[in-house]
Amino acid sequence: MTQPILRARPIRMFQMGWLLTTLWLSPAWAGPQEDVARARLVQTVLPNLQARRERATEQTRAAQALFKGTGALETTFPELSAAPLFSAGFIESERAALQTRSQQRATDRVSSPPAHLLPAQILKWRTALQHTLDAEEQSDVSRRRILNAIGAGLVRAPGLAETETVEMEERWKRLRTVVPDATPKEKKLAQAAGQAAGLLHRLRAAALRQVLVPGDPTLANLIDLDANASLPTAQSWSTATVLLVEARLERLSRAAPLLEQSDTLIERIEGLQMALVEQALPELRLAIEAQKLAQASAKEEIAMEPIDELRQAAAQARNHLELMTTAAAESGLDLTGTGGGAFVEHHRLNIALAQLKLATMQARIDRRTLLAQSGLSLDVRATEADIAKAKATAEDARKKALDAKEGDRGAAQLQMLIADLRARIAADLEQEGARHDQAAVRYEALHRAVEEHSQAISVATALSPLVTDRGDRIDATYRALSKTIRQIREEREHLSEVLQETIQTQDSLENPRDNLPESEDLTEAISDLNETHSSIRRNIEGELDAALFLLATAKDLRTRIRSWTSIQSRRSADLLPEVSRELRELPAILRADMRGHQAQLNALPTRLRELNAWGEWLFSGLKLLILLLLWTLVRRQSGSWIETALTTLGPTSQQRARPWERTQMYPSWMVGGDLQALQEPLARITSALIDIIIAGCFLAFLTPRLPSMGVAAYIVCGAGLVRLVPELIGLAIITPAHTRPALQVTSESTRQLLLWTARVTVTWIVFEAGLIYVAEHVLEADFLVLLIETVGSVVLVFIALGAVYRWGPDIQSRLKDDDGVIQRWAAIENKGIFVQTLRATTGAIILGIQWCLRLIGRIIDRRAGLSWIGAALARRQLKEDEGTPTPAIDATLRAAIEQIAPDRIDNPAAAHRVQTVFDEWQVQRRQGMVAVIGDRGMGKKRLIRSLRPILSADMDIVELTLDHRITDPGRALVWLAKQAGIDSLQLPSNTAGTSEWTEHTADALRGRPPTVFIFQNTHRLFLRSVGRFQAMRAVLGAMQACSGHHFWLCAFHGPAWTFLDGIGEVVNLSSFRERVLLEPLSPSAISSWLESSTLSAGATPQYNRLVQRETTGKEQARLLDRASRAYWRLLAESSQGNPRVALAFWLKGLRQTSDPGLVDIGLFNTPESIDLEDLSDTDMFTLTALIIHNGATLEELHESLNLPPGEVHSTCRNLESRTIIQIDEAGDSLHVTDFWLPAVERLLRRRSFLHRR
Amino acid sequence: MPTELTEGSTNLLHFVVWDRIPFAIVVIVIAFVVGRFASRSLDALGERISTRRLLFKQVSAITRFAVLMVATAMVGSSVFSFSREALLAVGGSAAVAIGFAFKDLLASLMAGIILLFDRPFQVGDRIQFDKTYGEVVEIGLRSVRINTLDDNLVSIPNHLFLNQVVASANAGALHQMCVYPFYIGCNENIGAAKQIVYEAVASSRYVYLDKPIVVVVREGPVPDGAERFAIEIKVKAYVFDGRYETAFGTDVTERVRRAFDEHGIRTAGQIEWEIPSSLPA
Repeated sequence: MTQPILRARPIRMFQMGWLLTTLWLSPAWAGPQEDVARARLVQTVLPNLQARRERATEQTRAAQALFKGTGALETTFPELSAAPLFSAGFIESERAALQTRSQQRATDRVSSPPAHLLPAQILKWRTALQHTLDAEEQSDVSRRRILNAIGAGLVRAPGLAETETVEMEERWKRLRTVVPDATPKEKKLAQAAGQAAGLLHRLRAAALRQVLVPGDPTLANLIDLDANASLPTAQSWSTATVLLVEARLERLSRAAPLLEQSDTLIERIEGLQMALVEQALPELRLAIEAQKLAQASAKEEIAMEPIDELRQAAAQARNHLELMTTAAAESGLDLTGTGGGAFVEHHRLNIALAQLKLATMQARIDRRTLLAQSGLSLDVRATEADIAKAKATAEDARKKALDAKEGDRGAAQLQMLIADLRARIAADLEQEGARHDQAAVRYEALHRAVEEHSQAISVATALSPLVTDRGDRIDATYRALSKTIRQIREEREHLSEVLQETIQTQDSLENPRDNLPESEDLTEAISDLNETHSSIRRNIEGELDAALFLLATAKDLRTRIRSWTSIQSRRSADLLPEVSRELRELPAILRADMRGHQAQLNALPTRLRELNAWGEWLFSGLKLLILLLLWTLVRRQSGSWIETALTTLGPTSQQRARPWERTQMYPSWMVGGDLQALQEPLARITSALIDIIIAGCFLAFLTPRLPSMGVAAYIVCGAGLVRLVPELIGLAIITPAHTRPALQVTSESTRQLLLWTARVTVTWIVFEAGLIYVAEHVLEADFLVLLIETVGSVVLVFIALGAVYRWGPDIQSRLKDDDGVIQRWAAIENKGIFVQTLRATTGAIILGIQWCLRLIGRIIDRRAGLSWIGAALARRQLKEDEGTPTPAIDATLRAAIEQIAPDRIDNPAAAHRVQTVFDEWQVQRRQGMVAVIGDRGMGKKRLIRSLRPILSADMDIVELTLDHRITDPGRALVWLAKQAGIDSLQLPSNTAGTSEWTEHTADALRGRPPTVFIFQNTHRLFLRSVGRFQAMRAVLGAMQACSGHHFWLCAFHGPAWTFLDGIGEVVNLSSFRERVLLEPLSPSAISSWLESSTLSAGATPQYNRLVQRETTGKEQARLLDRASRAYWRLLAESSQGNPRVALAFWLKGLRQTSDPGLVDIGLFNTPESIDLEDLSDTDMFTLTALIIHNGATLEELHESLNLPPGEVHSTCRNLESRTIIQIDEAGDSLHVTDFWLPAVERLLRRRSFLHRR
Repeated sequence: MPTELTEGSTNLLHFVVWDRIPFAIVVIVIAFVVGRFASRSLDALGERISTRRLLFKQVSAITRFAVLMVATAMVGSSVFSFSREALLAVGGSAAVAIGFAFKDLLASLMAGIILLFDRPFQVGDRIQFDKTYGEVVEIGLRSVRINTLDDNLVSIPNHLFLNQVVASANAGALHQMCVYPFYIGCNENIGAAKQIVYEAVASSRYVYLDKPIVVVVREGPVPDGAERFAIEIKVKAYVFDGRYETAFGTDVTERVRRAFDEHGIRTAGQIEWEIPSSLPA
């Protein structure tokens, strides 16, 4: 501001005056300006700054408190409390404002002070300004922190952003606006929407605290509260509850990222999602059902109104489902992550489960469709229009009556009557409408309950059996289902009562025509009234049928689940009261069934107009016709077909003349007979079988469609079964009077008993199954089925007891010879039915056990691999030698037995075979070669010796015994000729082939008179080595060449024969006409042979020493018998049936007694193959060679085994030291000792060294 | 939320029940002992009952496999405690992760199961796979172990057997066919040589006589024989136990060569080393 300059100039007085005035006034003007400035500073500027500073400081302090969790946003930044904080836009705008303010503060800090201030004042102003700006800076820092925290929170939980929830909030807002006359449902929905919006607001506030205050528990508590709130019960689900659950899910899923991760929270969120999806599933099912019904409605004129409703519901359900299945994405779950994948997978599983449930419901829906097609619709109801029309007509009639009152009294009365009738129609319709609505609500509730149970059953049964609560869930569902069934029954009974009342009321109405003239209006009114009554009755009947149908569905579910329920749950259901209820509702079920059939018949004319129906009928009719034709044809022709088949299969006419050939046609387990005699029983069986098959086809066809008609098919099928089973038994079991083949021959009484038992049992089973069929498929009474099954089981037990009683004498006769106490008791015949049945039952059990034991014994005996079990069992039954050893029998007795026993081995079968061949050869002299094959000690020599008298009757006998091995063909042939008495045999020169030598020798032999040559040790003509088979070939060739002239009986060592038989290209054994194999002796053969030999030697063997415990009387005899059988079984197993080995073991076990005429039989020690387990491969090969070449020398073993002589020598020495092999007295040939022979053979076979049998 | 939940779901350590670790260790030890005991017992039993040796080996392999699987299941179910959802999560994505990480291992594991049930070969069989020939000694979870004739133990991953050719010489039986060719000069006595070869095989202590011995004669070039022609006498016979395959070949060859020498039959090799008489000295 510049200072005015005072200038004195006379000319310009005005100017001067102005100037003067100005100058005069200028101090006055300048003085107040400075004062104002100072005053403004003190009174306004500084206080304002102070206030700003204080406010900023207060905000900063409040913000600190807020960050510490002790303050509130409303008090700290009130302007923010109402702002859309969870909006990114707002946050950005706020940040921009903060930035502007910050820039402004920077400008303010360097701004000029107010004018007219003194420096001190300026300083004061500047200080105050700086402090204020600092405080505001601090405040804005707090403000920025809040905004940053919210921004960060939105990054973590973008679902909380207001833009994310705007649609949802808009929807809630719309739902909250309700009109005053809104329905209760709408009001509830509005309430729920308001609640949801409020809770979302609370959630945001809590989320704000969560992001601002570290560790603030508000949000966690809120979420926890939300997460742990229980789900609505199955019955309480509604649109409002769905909205609330959805809102809960939204809150949880949107706010959860702000909290620490928790499995429980995830589970709760997924649980809510699942609950919503599952809530949507019935609606989807409803949609499918609606579609079905819509399809049905396209065929039948069913009211479209409910269908449209269902369609709408279906559309909603689909939307709902889509919303729910995509809830994961909407709620922010990362679908590519594990949790998201699991979520989606979980939903997929549940949707798959839902589809499964839907599939299982398909049949029920089909039945419902069928119900709709048959006219049994629940939705036959009086519409508002009908009621209004009836009311209007009544009013019209009443007006007419009033009009008529003036003129015609009769007409007035008539019109009044018509008006009354019309009013009654309206009232009845109105009443029926209300009643029907209530019934529909009840039915819907029951229907929904059944659906829920079905769903619960599907879910529970689909669970893995390892899930712990599976059983509890099934039990709970079973109990709930039983309760629902009771409620459906109550509803059915209620409807029955309503129907009865309606019928009675309608029947009690007076005839309104009395004393009134004929009138079309009256007739029409009466007709309408009747029609109304009929429709009401039909309506109730329809409801009744629907209730019965629902009842059947529920029972079906209960039957399905019963097998999985626990015994406790099943027991908790009262059988008899349930059966009683089922029996009471039978008439209603039958009536409903009849109504259903009638409805189908009524619908027939409509169906006749459909091409599809015609096609279906024609196709079904054709199938039935084919079945019937097939039935007739097969029944008629079966007899001739069987006859033809039997004639074809039977023996030729030539064979019929020879009964022994006729019987040879059959396997050993069959009884032979005349095949033609089978015709009659086979025809009856075929007829019954055809009846069963055809009736079974009908049964399968009719059961799902017309179960009541299926009963007829079942009767035919069951009758066929009753005929078939006894016929089959009769076919298999015959008496001596029958000539046809069968499986078993028995006495007539036994056969009749069998037939009686089979007939009675099968008849009862068929009867019981028939009852069950009727109860299950026709009467739909599941507990009645249980009762029938229980009664059936009891009856079967009685039948079994009756059969046992009738079989009693037979059973007892089989037990007569048994010694046991129980057996003896059971074998006593008694006249009392009870005691006799008890005895017979006991006897039957004993016989059953004995049969099982025999069967096991047979299996063990027949299976070679199991024979060790038999031996082990036998050994367990015998008493081991304990205590002081008893001396063995003396040498004299031993020698006597050894001398006598070999001569007593008898093998008549083998001898008979040789004799037969010899006889045939004598008739037709060709191929006179017989091989007697047996292991060492099997009795080849004794057999041949026993044959000598027979063979020498007509011819000379020459016995050739090869004492040492000859493998050179020339030497062998010369030896043969020499043994045959041809000393002058000169073989051609060495250049000639072996075949020439053979022919030459054969020629020489043919020069001899016909002779029987007995060739012992034929197997010594070969050695298992290259080029050492020629002697065998040459000698066999010579024998064969003259086998038409001489008879050759050759003894072969069994293993050697087996080996040669395996190399047919080297040695051809087919030249032998007969091969007589000496089989191992059976236990009984060994026992009779050794016992008789010992007796002949002057000693009687006794088994007392083998009995495990001392007893007396019959028990002692039984134990002795058991011990003897076990002993011989053990001996046969240990000796492998070899007589020489068996004799050795027998002699080892015999013990002296005080009586010289008696010897005790004791257990013998047997070598076990386990003792040979440590043998090396070379040992095994050596033993194998010794088994094949019994009596081989070391040199021969070396050549045969292709092993170095030293190794063979050391091996043999080792085996000899272990007494497994021994060297003969001459010291050159080796063989396995008798004692070790069975064990060695067993071991070599087990280790596959000896593999041919 | 999703990120944190996902991380939590896949962190296996969260599902470990630490106090069951001792139990798991006991199970592993018992499984190891039982597996070894069963395996050794069955193998020893197989050695004692040679005719059923391969059967016992197969039972041993299956037993070992079953013990391992059961032990794994027990350890897994006791040490890890999964909720149904967690199991789904782990079973879904973790299976994929593990699957990628151990693709070959899992392929071999699955192939092992297939090999056990499809049985293209069995333990004890002699198989030819690629250039490896030997006895299958183990069909494990991961690989098949083959003991070659040189006594090398070769491990081949199981899954390779599913898409490559494998030939089994004995197909589960104890005995197996062996083929041995012998080459003699074109002018030698073929009949005698054939007889000798047949008898040599028939005389061998290793031959299995329940199956036929076949001798086939063919004239043609000797393999790797510098275009020399010879008579090939090929004998096909079964050895009674595959483990004696090489010994059988040795035995037969020794016998044949000895007999050829005795009968003056020259083999292709012997003729090759002789100086033809028509050539000038």
